[in-house]
Amino acid sequence: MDVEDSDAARSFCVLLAEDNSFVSELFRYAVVRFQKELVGYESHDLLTAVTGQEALRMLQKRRADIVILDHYLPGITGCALVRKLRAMPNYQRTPILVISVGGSEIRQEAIEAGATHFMDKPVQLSQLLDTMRSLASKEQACQ
Amino acid sequence: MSVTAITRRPPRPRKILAIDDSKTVLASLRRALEQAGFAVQTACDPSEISAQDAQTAAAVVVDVQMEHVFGDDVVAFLRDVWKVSAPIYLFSSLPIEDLNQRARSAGANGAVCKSDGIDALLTQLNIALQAP
Repeated sequence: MDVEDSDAARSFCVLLAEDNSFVSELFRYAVVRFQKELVGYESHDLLTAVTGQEALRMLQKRRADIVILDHYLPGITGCALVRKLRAMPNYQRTPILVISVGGSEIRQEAIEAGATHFMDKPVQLSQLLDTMRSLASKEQACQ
Repeated sequence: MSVTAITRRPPRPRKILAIDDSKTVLASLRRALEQAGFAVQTACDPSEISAQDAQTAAAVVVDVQMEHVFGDDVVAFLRDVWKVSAPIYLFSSLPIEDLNQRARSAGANGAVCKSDGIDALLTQLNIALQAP
């Protein structure tokens, strides 16, 4: 399915999929801080999902500039979602960050699925901010 | 002449909110803090608490290295997003230099090493809660 993104040409959109309510709020806090640093965009959007299916539906309707996925989501796992996204024309180069417990095994699965970066839980918010900055610069370099 | 008896309710104990992923630590905290006259709410994970829980606490005690999140990030969130103004203390096994740095950065009032014991935490809490 194609993604409609013509209405969001000057908007920087982050999708966050995380089923732990507090972790989701904490990551949203970090994403909002990160988006405030961005210059050159008319607006910032943050999409939040608690299941893999919900995240996929959102990403089919609205293109995200950075995708942040927990691996252990209800339904579709984060890594399975990465594979689906990489098969979609609009998400072949989009920065995708997978965050999970599970260590090296999940890290390997995420990278093999096509994730741009993997972080072990718990994640220090300062490190998440640094990673988002790095991913955003890669995204801008690709445009 | 009639005499009206005035009955005064005893003051409600002040609530300490303790967040730690160790149930053993939480049980010890509950026992010690209740003996000291506090009401205690415990949570193994921050997802178990609401903003109101945090906003109605007289003080908050937070572990640092938890399963899903770092306690110093939780403190920054409580201060910035949930607008918690009560004293907050980090209570962790990390070295005190690291803990103090994390506490300062996050906006906590202080930090106590678990190796110093719950009495050390209680001393800090009593000082913070007696201040006008």
